[in-house]
Amino acid sequence: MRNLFQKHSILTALIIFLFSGSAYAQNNISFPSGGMKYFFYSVLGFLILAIIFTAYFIKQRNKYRQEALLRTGKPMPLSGFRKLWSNFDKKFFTKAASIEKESDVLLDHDYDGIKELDNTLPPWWKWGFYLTIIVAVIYLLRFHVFKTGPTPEQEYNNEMQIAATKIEANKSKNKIQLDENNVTMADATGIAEGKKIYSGTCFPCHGAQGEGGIGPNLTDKYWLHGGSIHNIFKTITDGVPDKGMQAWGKTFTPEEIRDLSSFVLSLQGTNPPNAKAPQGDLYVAAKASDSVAVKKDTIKQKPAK
Amino acid sequence: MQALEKFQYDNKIARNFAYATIIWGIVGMLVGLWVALELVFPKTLNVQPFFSFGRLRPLHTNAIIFAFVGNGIFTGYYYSIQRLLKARMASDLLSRIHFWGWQFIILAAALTLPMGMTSGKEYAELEWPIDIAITIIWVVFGWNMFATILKRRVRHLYVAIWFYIATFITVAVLHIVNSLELPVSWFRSYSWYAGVQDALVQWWYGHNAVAFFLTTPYLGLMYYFLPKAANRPVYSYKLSIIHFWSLIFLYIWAGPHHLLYSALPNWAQSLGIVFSFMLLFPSWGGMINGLLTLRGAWDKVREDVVLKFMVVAVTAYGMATFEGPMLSLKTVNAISHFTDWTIAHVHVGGLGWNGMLTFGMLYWLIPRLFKTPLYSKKLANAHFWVATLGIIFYAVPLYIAGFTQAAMWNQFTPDGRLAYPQFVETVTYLKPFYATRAFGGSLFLFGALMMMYNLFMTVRKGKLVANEDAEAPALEKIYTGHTGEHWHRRIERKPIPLLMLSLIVILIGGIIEIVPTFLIKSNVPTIASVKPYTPLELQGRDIYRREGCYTCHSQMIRPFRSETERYGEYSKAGEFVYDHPFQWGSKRTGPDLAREGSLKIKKSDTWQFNHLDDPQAVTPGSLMPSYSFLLDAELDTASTVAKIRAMRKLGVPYAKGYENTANKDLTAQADLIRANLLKDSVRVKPNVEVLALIAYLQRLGTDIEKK
Repeated sequence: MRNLFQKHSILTALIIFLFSGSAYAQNNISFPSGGMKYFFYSVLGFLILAIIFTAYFIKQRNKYRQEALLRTGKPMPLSGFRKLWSNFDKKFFTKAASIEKESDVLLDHDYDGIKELDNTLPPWWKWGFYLTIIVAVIYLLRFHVFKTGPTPEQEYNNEMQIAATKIEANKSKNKIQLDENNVTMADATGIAEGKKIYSGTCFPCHGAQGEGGIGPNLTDKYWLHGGSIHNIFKTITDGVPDKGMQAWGKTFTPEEIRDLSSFVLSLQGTNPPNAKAPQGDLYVAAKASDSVAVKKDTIKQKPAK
Repeated sequence: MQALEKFQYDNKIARNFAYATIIWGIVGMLVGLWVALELVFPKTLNVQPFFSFGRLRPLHTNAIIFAFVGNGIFTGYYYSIQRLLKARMASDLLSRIHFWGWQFIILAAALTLPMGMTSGKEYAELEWPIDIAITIIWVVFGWNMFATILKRRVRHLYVAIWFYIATFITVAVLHIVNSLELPVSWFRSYSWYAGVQDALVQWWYGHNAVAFFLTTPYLGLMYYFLPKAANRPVYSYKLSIIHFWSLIFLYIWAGPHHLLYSALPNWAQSLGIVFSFMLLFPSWGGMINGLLTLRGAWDKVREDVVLKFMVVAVTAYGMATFEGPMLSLKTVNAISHFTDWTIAHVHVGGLGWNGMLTFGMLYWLIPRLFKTPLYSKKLANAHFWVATLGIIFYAVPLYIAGFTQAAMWNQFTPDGRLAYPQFVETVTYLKPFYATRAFGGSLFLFGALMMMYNLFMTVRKGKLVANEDAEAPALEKIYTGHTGEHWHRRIERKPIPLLMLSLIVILIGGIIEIVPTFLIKSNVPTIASVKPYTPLELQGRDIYRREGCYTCHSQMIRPFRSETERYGEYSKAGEFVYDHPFQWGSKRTGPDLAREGSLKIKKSDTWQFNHLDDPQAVTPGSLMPSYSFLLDAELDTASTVAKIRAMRKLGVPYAKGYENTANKDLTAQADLIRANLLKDSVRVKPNVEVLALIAYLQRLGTDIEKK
């Protein structure tokens, strides 16, 4: 009974663990394609199985044999499979002297009662060792004598080239690319999306309500890098590294940056508490009919297609 | 046959080391559990400055390697070598000096590491006075060993002793070469080597700390305690010979596999790969010689808790040494490196191989030292299961965490941007795994406490046999070998040639890898725009090192698209020529910082300031400890002169006499940063440490952008 309990407690623990593992995996992470995924899982499986088997083996290995011995007074005969294995083992696998004939290979060494057998090197071990040496020699020849294998730099250049081709192919599929020139204000849903991004990423520098902090106040009419949707889109995308504004173009998609820019513009005139003093120039949107020479929207707008 | 001589074994020294093993083991595991929990509760547990992750993690690794396993080695070593040589230790005084010296070193480590006194090189963090103490105590240990070997009553040295000898000589070489450093004050020094060369020496050392501190001495212990506990002959003498020599020869080459895809010359990386690959079978030689020794004794394994521990230990050894060569393959390493996969791997070795073998050995040894049966077999059995479960709950979540994080780092969207561009996303995702790992660790620690109680009760029941009587005939004066004896027998009866041969065998790999990297210029191509650090940056770098930032942040961008997209241009060997010591790191719990100051990812001084003050406020979900104490800590500008001088001595081209005006430059640069901060209404005192750290971070990776 105790044995049973011990065994089951392990099984239960493992089951709980595996389930909790799948609970972690809600985030959609797709593993890199190719064999690595399977390699990883097989290593993991190998580890778990090896530990369980060792534990199980230790507990159960001799139980049946001993019971059989008690019952019949004779050692239990080997099953067909065991016989096969034992033969294979003797001839090819370890080539070890059987336990009954151990005295034939017992050396006269005695160290504090520890004796040594003169078993031969297990052939699988010996040949495995030779094989790794051959592989090592081939590896060195390939990469450093014949130089048919790529250097890390070559690998990198290949990787970048493949990526560039892929991106290009993807670009030609999506005809219209949103950029600072053709961006327009997002609708209410877009602004709501922008707000989410803002409160996850921008607030540490610009304040929870856009009041400013490390970065400038976003709610007033003064702008360091222009206050149109085009300007803001560009500032967010490329950043202003010298002043500490990071470039977010690699982080967010153009659509997300449009939403974010629109949200930022929606903060205009909200007058939050603790607002930072204005920085930059007063920005007045350039209207077609208007020629006021305050800082203008500096980006040329392409005519709508 | 000569007359029997009577003598006594010194059991007291084995007992003392056994006690130290248990106590330091529990301390080391406790610190480990603490740092594991810091990743789950970063805000509460990172009590700054002494208990923040960067300072405690080195304490954990050093305590486990040198205190727990170190004392474990000496416990088994002192017990077994006297019996294998049929002789008492040559000098009880030297044994005692060894014991107390080693404990003093550990105590010094436990005090200095939380204080931030660190050389900044992994597993070799202890500063120069302690390094010297280690060297002295190590010589005491070796001296006593050889003096005992020379007065032995057994002609041939058993395989366990070959491993002890190889351990002694190799650790001595590794420790001395890697610890060469130039002191600037009592507890501060700069590594003699810089950049790529420092990295190569460090990982030649680091990997062989695994090989010759965690592996070879424990194989020696296995070869004594396993056949003893099982009462079976060792499976194959031939295998012992072949795997011993091949193991020590091959192991020493393997270090560069910690630096794959780094700025290390490619040929050195390839040597690391192929030699790690060839290590598989020599390592497994130890495993199969252990497991096959149990042939015909498996029924005992069911009954005997000591053997159970040993079987799991040897199996874990087999698994870790299979995984090691696999992790050394470039394709696998590209995924595993810098992730928790590595942490899982070392803990299969640490908890499984070292931990379980130590436990098994102690359960066997303590009852024999105290001439009484173990207090509770049931409790020991429970310990076995708790510890085994602990290993599973520790390792499996970290395997998943490591692989998942690598997958997240490497994933791109179809339009060519990183799928997880914010590093912190990949970290917050791992929190449940870190929690499960901490649970596994606490199980393992709980098991160790059960053992402590069990052994304590055993000791109380028994009485120490401090001097155990023994007898053996003295060696004959003249000895001629048997005809037809194995050729290796001749080496086994000549300890000094055995020592010299081991030394030669282990020197080959180290010399072939290290010497060309130092002497051939093309291995580290220089870059003209790379200039020495300014005095403020130099001070900042020392703070970076003191706080152990390298335990979570790498400074090595590998030539992968996923890394150059995230961090910028991949790292070049020439960028590190003034880095004494190198700070490439080996794990990314936080993002790489090699180009923290470069245009692609540069942040403002105020951002860095606020982030160091309260990381979670700037990056929600971050696991980084707060370094708010740097905001008030005054910078030790008095040390600038000595530091510049030391750097010049190491070859950094500061102009002669620059040390005298350096502090003027330092203040000017600090004031510039203060002015930047003031623009964002952040006021700081002049010359506080945070300014130096910001200066250093903003400098990182910018040199190659300058024309």
